[in-house]
Order: sequence, then structure tokens, then C-alpha cells
Amino acid sequence: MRYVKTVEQVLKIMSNIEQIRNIGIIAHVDHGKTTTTDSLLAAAGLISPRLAGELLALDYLDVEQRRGITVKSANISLYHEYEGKPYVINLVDTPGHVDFSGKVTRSLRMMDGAIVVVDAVEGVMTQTETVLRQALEERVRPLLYINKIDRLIKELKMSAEEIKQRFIEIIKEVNSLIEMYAEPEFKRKWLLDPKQGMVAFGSAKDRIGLTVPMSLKKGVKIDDIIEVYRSGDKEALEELRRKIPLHEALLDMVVKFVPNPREAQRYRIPRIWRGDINSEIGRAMLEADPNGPLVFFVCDMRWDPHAGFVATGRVFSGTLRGGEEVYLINARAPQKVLQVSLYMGPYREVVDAIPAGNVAAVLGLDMARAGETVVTTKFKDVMVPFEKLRYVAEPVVTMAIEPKKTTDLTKLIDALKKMSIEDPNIIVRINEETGEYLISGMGHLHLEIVLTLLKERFGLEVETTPPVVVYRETVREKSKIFEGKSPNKHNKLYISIEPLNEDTIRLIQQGIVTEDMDPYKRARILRDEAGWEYDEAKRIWAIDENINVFVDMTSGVQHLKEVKDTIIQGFRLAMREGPLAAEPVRGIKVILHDAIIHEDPAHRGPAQIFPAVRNPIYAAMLSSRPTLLEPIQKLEIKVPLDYMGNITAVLARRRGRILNVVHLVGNIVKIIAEIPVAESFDLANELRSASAGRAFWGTEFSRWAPVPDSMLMDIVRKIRQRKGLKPEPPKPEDFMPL
Amino acid sequence: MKELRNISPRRVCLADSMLKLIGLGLSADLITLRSLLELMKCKRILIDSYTSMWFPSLDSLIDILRKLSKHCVKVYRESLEGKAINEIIAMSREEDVCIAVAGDPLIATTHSSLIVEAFKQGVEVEVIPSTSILSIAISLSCLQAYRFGKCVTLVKPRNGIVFEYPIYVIEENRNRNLHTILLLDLDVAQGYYMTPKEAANLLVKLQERLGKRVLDYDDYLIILGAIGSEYGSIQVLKLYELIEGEERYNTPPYTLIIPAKKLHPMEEECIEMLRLRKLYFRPRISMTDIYKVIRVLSSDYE
Ligand SMILES: Nc1nc2c(ncn2[C@@H]2O[C@H](COP(=O)(O)OP(=O)(O)OP(=O)(O)O)[C@@H](O)[C@H]2O)c(=O)[nH]1
Ligand SMILES: [Mg+2]
Repeated sequence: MRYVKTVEQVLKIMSNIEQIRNIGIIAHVDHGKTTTTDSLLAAAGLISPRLAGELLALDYLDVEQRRGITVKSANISLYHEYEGKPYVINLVDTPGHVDFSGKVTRSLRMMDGAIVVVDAVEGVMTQTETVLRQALEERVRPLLYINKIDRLIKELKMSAEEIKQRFIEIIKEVNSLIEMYAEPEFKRKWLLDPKQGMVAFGSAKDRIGLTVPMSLKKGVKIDDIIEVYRSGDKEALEELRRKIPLHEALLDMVVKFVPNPREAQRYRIPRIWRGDINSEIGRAMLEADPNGPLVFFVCDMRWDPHAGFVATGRVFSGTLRGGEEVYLINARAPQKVLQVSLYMGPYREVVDAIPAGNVAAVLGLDMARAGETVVTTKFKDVMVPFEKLRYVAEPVVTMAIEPKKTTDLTKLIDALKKMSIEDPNIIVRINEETGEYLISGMGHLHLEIVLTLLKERFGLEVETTPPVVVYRETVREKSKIFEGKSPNKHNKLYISIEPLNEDTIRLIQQGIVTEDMDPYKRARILRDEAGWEYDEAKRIWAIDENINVFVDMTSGVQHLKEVKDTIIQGFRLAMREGPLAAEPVRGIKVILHDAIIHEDPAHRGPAQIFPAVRNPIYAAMLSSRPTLLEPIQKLEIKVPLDYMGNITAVLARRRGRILNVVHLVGNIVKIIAEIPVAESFDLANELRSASAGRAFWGTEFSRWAPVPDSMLMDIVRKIRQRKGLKPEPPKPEDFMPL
Repeated sequence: MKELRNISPRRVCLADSMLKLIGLGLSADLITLRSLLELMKCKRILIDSYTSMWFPSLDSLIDILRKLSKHCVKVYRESLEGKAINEIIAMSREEDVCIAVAGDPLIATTHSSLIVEAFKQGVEVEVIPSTSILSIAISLSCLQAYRFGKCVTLVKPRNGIVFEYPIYVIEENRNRNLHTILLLDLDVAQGYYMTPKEAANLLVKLQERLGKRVLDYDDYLIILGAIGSEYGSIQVLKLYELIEGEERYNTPPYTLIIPAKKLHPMEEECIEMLRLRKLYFRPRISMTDIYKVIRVLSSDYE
């Protein structure tokens, strides 16, 4: 009953922007996001409070329940009263596992504030830092929740003084990150002041929580909490839960310190949107005007077997209504909104309209992808879409997949397509020669989850090859100029290559330099920040997804303009599979110096041009000290000092490198290390047994690094054999014309 | 120039075998006696089956050659280009290799790379020219042979790549008051043949895209279809008639002629008559006739 009522209340409040908050919860893996979210959900009355402890309502997919981690960002609307006023809080649950960090970046766009959950025992970890930094980059205001304080008392038997000391340490650490990553104009205001109530601490498992102002108001102190835990008195805990419920501590904090969407959009829009803020649309978004043109930013696409694709996102301006014709900027297509709904726990409730400032779920926009900008059709030509989302992570593990029943092939392809729409970090490709389907993801766990989802959501049993690590091919020297001829010999291209410098790679990776930006602006950035000649930088034709650049240095070549697009396509194809091991190429500059092009279009089609592009690139690469890059993971391990020797031995065996060791309280050390992904299969088990289960760790993609020369040829041969190529890589001559 | 120096004198072939490029003309009616004779003499024949069509059919010609126990294979692009060129040249050191091509082997196709490579490697080459669509189009067009400009192929946009070049060629020709032969894209292996209507729409789209007005809806187009076959046709339509009309043209391949803007009075009259009357070029030679001729020829040569 409360449920239905809440929908109505929610809708009424939603129309008053001062009473809306958009937030998310971010944390290192296992620090308690889901448990926290769940207790909020319980208190908002969407599921019964009794169930909240165990039934992790947000982890509604079976797979997650079993694994205990959150895979999908789900969105829920919560209800909270503060100082007699009702509020709707749109809450985005973000995944904590590194393998999905692309999703974190995306969901940050939805929220104006973030509750940073930190495990009181483990403290600030790699992922805490990564997501906090990303949040600050998107101008999301952070608040701190120190979780699992029961463990400080029950496991570590800390005194009140020690606990306070622990809080101070954690707050200090988080503040120093805010100090480091926040833009100057927000730093002062956003630094966490516990006295004002910007920090909460508690136990999500037991659903208790406290802030300093709440402690004063309710007369509950840390000593009282210690007392309750020490006594082990169930009733006393129940009493405490009534007195200082976690949701009150957190939601009070949110209502008070997270700006309402209008206030937030005023300073966030100029950061997250690159259009003209003085235009009609710009002004409407700054003001979150429900009567302005519709701007709906899609953050998540999810396949629902009953409803089709559900687009979830935030209405930045205007009002989203069912039945309305809208326009998808990136897909360049009009589509009709079939149904609008808001989130209640894992469920969607259909409503007529959702006004600016809110999070909405939409049916009918099946051409949208995460990152799409949807607008009122009238504004389709003037709307500047939101920035392309930058992903910090690149897929590094691949496996071949096929259905157990061959008749399921179409179903499998369809399911994979849907999943890669939902999660752009899943990349599905077909191996042209073998016809095998290949899926790539962010790590072993990521792919395992894909398989489980295939089974549970689509009823598909599949066979897979063991996951293999994806490498990149690159070169270490500049090449001379090579001639490439088309098979009919009427077209000739003269091409050389060289490695891109680190600065260029960084600029492209961070999305500062992109293919579709203004070429003059791009040239200036490359000249000023990466040492390019302006004239060369101006002549960039293409930048591919794996960070390779094509430059046209020709002058006055007849018909070149006509084959430009074909040459670019040929370049992209060549970059997808390098000559050494048919792995993607990364970090090279391809320079076209001169060309001869046949007069008639019939004799310069793709079949002629592609080989003329590919062959000289391959010959040049093979003659420029080619090598493989392997993905390297960053590893952060917290472990009692006694086990440090064991752990370092494990790392050393796997080509790991220790970067830093920090002593923490309680004889714990934090080891920061790097380890090749190729060496990290089954690492978890080994770390566990080397530390008698006492090690905590987190991993994160770090960078691409050349494989040791001593191992290079061996790895190349193995990859080639796996792909059914002859083990020895080709020689430059194999790609040189007769 | 640079490449000529690469000729190695040691490679000069001493055997008297050679590489021959043989034009088959457009059809049984247009194949020359000389070409038939060459086919008879040659043991190893590669029939190019991707650059154009031959009427009544290449297969029937192959059948006949095979009946005469010729080693005769139909080949696709891969076998006549790129690395395959070396194999062909190596083969032709051992015995004569004949590459038979519908039309003329060196017009509108790209077999010149074969010749160059053979020269470089010291293999002798003989070319047997024949009638090609270019010469036939001119003969059947009512237009004066002296007034043709550049010809060009209109290519179907693929992978999002649109070739705008043909519009520029037509524009240039028309500015100089010349006629244009427009070859329409075909892909024999895929069974794709651009139709005149498709071509007309593409031309209009291209010129709109470029903001040009090269062709008017009232301009005449001469449409040649399947010349040399029993369905061969020659038609004169205005651009709008072609665009609005039914897709009646189901006998590929097609060639369009875009007349110059200002026609000579004789040309004009002839074109206008063509709209009312039919110009015939009917096939009369059957494959049986060809077979008979070959038999006669071969009995003389054996
Ligand atoms: N002792 C104690 N355990 C807690 C508390 N909060 C959460 N946990 C436990 O910590 C583990 C991880 O909690 P989750 O809520 O799943 O953590 P998460 O951050 O959502 O984890 P991921 O989704 O995997 O990133 C679970 O076993 C919880 O029961 C707490 O306050 N005290
Ligand atoms: Mg979780």
C-alpha cells in the first residue's frame, strides 16, 4: 500500500525542483555500496524493512546475488522528509568492480552528489581514489560515509579514542584527494567538515548511522554504539536502529549538502556540455527549465525481455512525455517515446511525464546508445550533443564463443548484440576467417559474468575458448618510405610510419584530441602539448580507436580527394590487425607522402585501395623494431606485515613490480604493485593462500607496456598459432610489391 | 623510368612461348576470326570473367573450347592481379598462355599491368585487339565520333563512400561541348549491374550534393543495353523520363551516353528519330556457327 502512495507522492514532489536530489554511491569494491543502497531502499518503503539486511534488492540479477557484486547500475527513486519537507532522491547504484569502470564514468553524469563509501577497516583504496577523482572531474559533489564501524569494534576491538582517530585519518585522506583533484572554485566548499554533518559513519549491515549534528540532536555518542556492540544485545541494537537509522544520517546529509538539480546544472552544464550556454537550449539547461526544449541524456541502455530496450537517463531540460516524437542526435534519427517511467527499486512505474532535473526510464528509443543526447525534434539541427564519454578502460581479455546448440547461433548473436549495447565495454567481433564470434571485456571476471548472463537472461548454453589476453602491436623506430601498389598496379601509395610520442597518446586517450574536433584547434594542441609540427598536425586525416593517426603529407595528387575515404577505411582495417600477430595496432603515426591514383573510379575501389594502404604499412611496421604491448594491472594489496614476504614472492613469480609499500595502523601494510594481466590468471587464489586469507586487494587497468624482448617471439608465435597462422611472423618483403 | 632499369637481361626468355591477350569482342557476332584462331592454337586459356559480359554467354564459349580439349579456366580478379601476375608470367615461360577478355583486353580494363610485368621479366607479349563497348557505343549513338570527351565509370556508393568524380567529368565534357560515355558499375561475381534508372537517380543526387547543375531533367540520354545480345537495345530518353519511368531495363550491362549540350543538326535529327524508330543490331551468329568455324579452322591447323 505504501508503495502505491509513494508513487503519487514521488510524482508530486518531482514537479518541484527544489525537492529533488540526484545522487550516487561510489566506493571501492566490497566496501558496502549495495548494502548501503539496500538499507536506503528499505527505509524509503519500497521493499519491506525486514528483508533489507539480506535481500540485496539492488543486486536483483541472480548472478550478482551469488557473486555478491553489483553488475548493472540500477536507478531508484527514494523518498525522504527533512525538516518537515518531502524530497525525492534519485539514486544511481554504480558498480564498484574495476572491470566495469566505464559505467561509473557514465553514471556520474546523472548525479550531482556522491556518497563515497569507505570501509572503516580497509580505508581509502585504489578504486576510492579513481572514482572520487572521476566524480570531481564531472563536478559531482562528494560526501563521505565511513562504513562497517561494527568491525572496528567487534574485530579490531578499538577504543572510542582509536575509532575517532581512525575517522580522522580517513577524512584527512579523502580531503587530501579532494584538495588534489577538485577545481579551485569548489575546493573550499567541498572539503569535508564533519562538524557540519558532511561525514556519516555507521554500519550498513546493521542499518545504523550517525553524523555529528545528528549525534548532538539525538544524544547518541560513539561510546553508546561501542557499548551496544560489546554487549551483543540484540534489542539494544534494534533500539539503536530506531534511534539512529542509517538512512536518516545519509539522506539528511544528502538533502542538506547536495545541490538541487537546478542549482547543480548552473555550474555543471558548462563543464559537461560543450554547446553555447547562452543559446536557448543552453539557458534552458542551466535553469533545468521544465518548459524549455527537451534534452534527455541517456546514460544506460538495458534489454528487458518484456519491454525491449529501456533507456535510462537524466532530463536536463524540458519535460519527457510518452507519445512524443524526439530526435536522437548521435543516431541521427527521429524516434517516438512510447512510455516514460520512474524507477522504484528494480521496478519501473509508468507515468505520464517526468520534468527536468529528474532521472527517467524511457521505452521506444531503441536506436539510442549510452551517451546519446535526445532532444525536441525542432532543435535537432542546433543541439550540440553532450561530450563523448571518455572511457578510461580498454578491453584486454578476449575469448571465442559459440552456442552448444548450433541452432542457437542467431539467438546468441542477438543476445551479444544486446549486451554490448547495454555495456559498451563488451566488444563483439567476428573472426572473418574462422567465422568465430569473439568477445572482449575488461577482465576475466567481466567475461565470466557475460557468460552467466547469457545463460540466465537468454537461456543460452555456450562453449568458449579459455580467455586470452589481448595485446597491441607497435613499433619503436621510424621507418623509411614504402611503396604500396594496388593489385591492378594502377594505384600507388608511398607511406612511412613512426611511433607516436607519449604526449600524443595521452591526449588522444583522454579525449582531448579527437578525430572529429576542429582541425586547427587540434593542430594547436598537438603543437603546444605534444611537439608536433603545426603543418603536419593540420593534415591529420584520421585517428582510430586504438590510438593511431593517419597524416596526409602529399601535395597536388590528382584524384586523391576521391579516394580519401577509401584510404581511411583501409587504414582503419590495417590498424585492427597488425602484421606481427594480427593484434590491434596502437600508437603509430602513418604518413602518406605521395600517391598515384587511377583516373576512373571503377579501378580505384576498395579492393584496389585497401591492399595499397595495408601492405606498405605492414612492411614499414615490420622493419621498425615491432613489438607487442601487454596490458598491465595496478594492484593494491592490504595485508598484515607478517605475510608481506609471501605476497611479494607471489608477485615476483608473476613478473610483478612493487611500486610502493606503506605502513598503516595495526601492523598492516599497503603494497602498491603492477602486474601483467597475462600473469594474473588465478592470482586471487594464490594471494589468498599466501596470506591465509588475510589479504585485501583491488585491481585496476594501469597501462600498456612492451613485453620483455626475451619473451616477444615466443608470445608472437603462440598468438599466431592460436589464430591458425603460421608461427613465424611475416617479413617486410612479404608486403613489398614485385 | 625507375622501374625500367630493373629489367634483368638474364631473365630474357629463350623459348618461343608467350603471353597473349585476346579480345573476344562483345559477342559471338563481334569476335574476330583471328581471335578464334588464337583460341584454337592456345593450350592454356584463362578467361577473365569479372570485367564484363559476353553474349550469348562465356560459358557456352568455354564449353566449346573444352570440347576441343583445351585447358580453359574461368578466372576472377584475384587470379589476374597482384601476386598472381607472377604465376601467370612463370606459366607463360613454359607454354603459351592466353588471357581472353570480353571486349578489348586493354580498353576499359586494367590488364596493362600484365603486359608491363611480362615485358620486365622478358616474356614476349601479343595483343589481339577487338571491339569494345567504347567503340560500339559511339557507332550506335547517332553522335559524331569526333566529339567525345573523357569517359568515366559511374560507381555505386559502397561502405558510405561516394565517388563524385563522374559528375566532374560530365561537367568538364559538357563545358567543352563534348559527349560523355558513362560506363555503369557492374560486379559480375556478385551479379550486380547498375541500371540506367539507378544511374540517373545517382547522377541527380551527386549533382545536388555538389550544388551543381550539370544535367537538366530535359536533357537527352542515350541508353545502350546488352549490346550484342538478342535483347540488345538502344534508346533515347530524357532524364526525367528515365527517372519517372518504369524500371524496364532488365538486360545488363548498360552504358549511358550523355550528349553534349549543343548538338550538331545532324546529331540532333538522328537522336530525335531514334525516339521514334528503332536502330537494329541483331545477333545472327549462333554458338553452333562458332563451333563450325572453329572446327574448320582447327582442321586446317592440325
Ligand atoms: N561487518 C559489516 N559488513 C558489511 C557492512 N556493510 C557491508 N558489509 C559486508 O561487506 C560485503 C560487501 O558489501 P556490498 O554491499 O556487497 O559491497 P559493494 O560495495 O556493493 O560491493 P561491490 O558491488 O562488489 O563493489 C558484504 O559481505 C556485506 O555483508 C557493515 O556495515 N559491516
Ligand atoms: Mg554491490
